[in-house]
Amino acid sequence: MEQLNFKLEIYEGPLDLLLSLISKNKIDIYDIPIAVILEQYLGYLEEMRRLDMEIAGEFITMAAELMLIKSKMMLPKSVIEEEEDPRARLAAALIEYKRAKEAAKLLSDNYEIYAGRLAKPADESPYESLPELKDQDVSLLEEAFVRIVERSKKLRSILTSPEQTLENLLRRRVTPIPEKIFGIIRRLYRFGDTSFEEILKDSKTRSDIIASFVAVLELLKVRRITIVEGREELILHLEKRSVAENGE
Amino acid sequence: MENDIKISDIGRAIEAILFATGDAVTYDKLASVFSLSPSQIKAVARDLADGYSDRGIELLCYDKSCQLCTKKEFEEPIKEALGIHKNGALSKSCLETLAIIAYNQPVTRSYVDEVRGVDSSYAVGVLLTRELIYVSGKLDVPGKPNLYSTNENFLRVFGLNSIRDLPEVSVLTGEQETGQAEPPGEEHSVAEKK
Repeated sequence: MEQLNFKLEIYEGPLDLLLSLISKNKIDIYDIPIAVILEQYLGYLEEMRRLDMEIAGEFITMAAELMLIKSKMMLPKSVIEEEEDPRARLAAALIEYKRAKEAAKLLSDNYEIYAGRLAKPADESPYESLPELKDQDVSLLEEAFVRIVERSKKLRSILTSPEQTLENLLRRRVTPIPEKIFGIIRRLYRFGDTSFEEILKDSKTRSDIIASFVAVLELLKVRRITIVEGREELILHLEKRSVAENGE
Repeated sequence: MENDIKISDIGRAIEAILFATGDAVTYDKLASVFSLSPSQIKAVARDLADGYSDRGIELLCYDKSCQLCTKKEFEEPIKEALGIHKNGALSKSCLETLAIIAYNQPVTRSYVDEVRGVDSSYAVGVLLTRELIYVSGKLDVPGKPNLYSTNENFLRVFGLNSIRDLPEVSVLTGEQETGQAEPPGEEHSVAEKK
């Protein structure tokens, strides 16, 4: 076998090297003359060794595999009758890797063209950068509640309307707290951080206001939400839960 | 709050949101903001995108999200202005790894290793840092290995709208061009691995 004079190229791995040998020898991947390729393959490793290059373990493993295939090929046909061509697995692996290389080439061409498309990173939301209150001081919620009620005529009138009669109390629907809890979570989930004032603003009855307040307390207690101090009023922030981990 | 915006202004509002966000925003998210359906939002975004032909930026409409980005022809002046000197080239091993992930996603690292015939953990690490791939789940086998998929950044810098737009790969098996590019029964798919 004549000396192959390849400049010592750097290969990504044994499959890369094999593909290169195959194309240099102009042979069919499905019909590799294993003895020839093995000799050239080992020649390359020898060359690497001579140049004191580090030879990755994968190269050695492949050498062993090639030798195994070669020895199987030498067995009389009858012995390996029912078995497939001992080179089949190697051929499949080479095809698969070749396809990946082709794909990488195509992608690389695209990258040359489009890598210049730049996007800016997301701005930090002003709410997110607010410091979280330590230990979620409930008195802050109380103070905020007082301020909000003072600012809102509507809330004030609901809360200060004359003592309701017993009939009114009985007739009027009592807002269930769970309803408010789900409402708040849904709102935070869809629209992001929301001020405490927003939550209270839409209340129509005294029971509404109470339910909203208790719902916020409940959510704080179970740490489903946290409060942060906004410019105007307290902001409710939904705590992220790791739901993203469930695959598709 | 969303009621204040007239239908005719939604396009402009979307533009404003995309500008503020920078990252890709899903049609679902925008739909919830404007109380429209995701497909309506997508149509509005598409219309909006047409208006960028003579601008320095463009609006990319992916399958499920959209994003503003600069046009590729202005890469040089932008880098000049920002003082960026590195060219962001991807190494051969990174490109191979990315190709294997892109065409077969979601895949595990050991799948990539197997196709390449070498350990690919370094390349996967680089791609994660460059935010071209992400951990999209875990394979339900012992050890629960991570599954990797490509993301919108990948689509953007490779000029694709969807992974369905990936260029078709044909592989010649030998020098005697037989015409049959693919060996029968060699279709590698995710389903096969599971």
